[in-house]
Amino acid sequence: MNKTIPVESIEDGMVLGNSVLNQFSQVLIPAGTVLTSFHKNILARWDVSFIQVKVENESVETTIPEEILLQATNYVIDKMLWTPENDIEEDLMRTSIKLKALSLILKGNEYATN
Amino acid sequence: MLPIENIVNSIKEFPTLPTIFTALQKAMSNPDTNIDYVASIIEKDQSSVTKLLKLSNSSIFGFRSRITSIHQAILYLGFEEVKNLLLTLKIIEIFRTKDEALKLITPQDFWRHSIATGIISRFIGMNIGMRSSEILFISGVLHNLGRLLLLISYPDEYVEALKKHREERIPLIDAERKVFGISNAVVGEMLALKWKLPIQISDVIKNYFFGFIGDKVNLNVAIVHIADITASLFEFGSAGSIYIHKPNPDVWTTLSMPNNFFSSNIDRIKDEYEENCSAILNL
Repeated sequence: MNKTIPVESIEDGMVLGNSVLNQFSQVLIPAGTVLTSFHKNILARWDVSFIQVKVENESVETTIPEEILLQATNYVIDKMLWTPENDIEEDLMRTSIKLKALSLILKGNEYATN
Repeated sequence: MLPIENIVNSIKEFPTLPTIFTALQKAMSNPDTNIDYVASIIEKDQSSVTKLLKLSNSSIFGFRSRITSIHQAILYLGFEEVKNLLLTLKIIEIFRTKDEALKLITPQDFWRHSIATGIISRFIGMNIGMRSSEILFISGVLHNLGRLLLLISYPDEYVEALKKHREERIPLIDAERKVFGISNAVVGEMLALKWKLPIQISDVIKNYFFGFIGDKVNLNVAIVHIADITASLFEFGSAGSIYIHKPNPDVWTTLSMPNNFFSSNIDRIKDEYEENCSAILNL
């Protein structure tokens, strides 16, 4: 399972959950890399704000900046030709917003590395 | 609007299923057939062997020990399942060779949406306690066959349908009806009949958009209805829809899924989706 964390929270020994890519989808740091302060510094130099690291048996709570969450919410609501009318539809919409927010964060990383 | 006869003729002219699949269907309709004979038919097509083994070992089936031969795959999965998997792989192969015609929606994106629908369908099936959820994966993967046929046979008209979908903010299936006078669901059913696909699959292809067969409950149809909407909202691939229609409210009642189904399963769904896209599409 992966968890999204800010680059400044990287600690030695954490394992990268998703590869860090550039805008041409070339792998800069492959998934599975054991992270060190070297990676933390180079990611900061590339202006990468967030990465995904592997976690075990932990509920995945991701810190999503409010601005990105708002952008993702507007995007998903515009896409839906309906509004949720029960709890499961609400859950479906919220999960879609979370996925969109994470993809915006990862996309931001791709731009930042170029 | 296109005369419907043109579309019917396009279906007639569409390729038949590869001989390996028809040979398999014939062998399996013989009650005296045995595993070695069926395995020998599949083994004549080396590309199918590699893909089938990779898929049999994926998390869709979750076997602990590794499946290393077609004989073993048939033993573990059963005749029907192996036949259905081969069918899925062959259909994907047919449409990938026609990449040129699919400029509007890339085949990679199209099949990613289809595979996601299959994976989510299977998750829902397991969650509500269906004993055999494998047919759900295949039905989910093939639910949009009719759209593929329309995209390949009528790319210019399909641009028109996509335009209507975007400008009028109507479901893509309604835009298809406006342009073609017929929806992908009906076209898909005609192709399913031509290819003699199992009835469970053609029922899904024809009715997935509504979630019911007329007013009758059909679990496979209801599940693929929700899975298609979910895959579109999650943007796992794309079958062309920018705007996503509302789930049929009666389907929720039919399925009785837990209210937190999506948030509690999203990580596993995403992992399986990525693993299977790689197993099926990157060979």
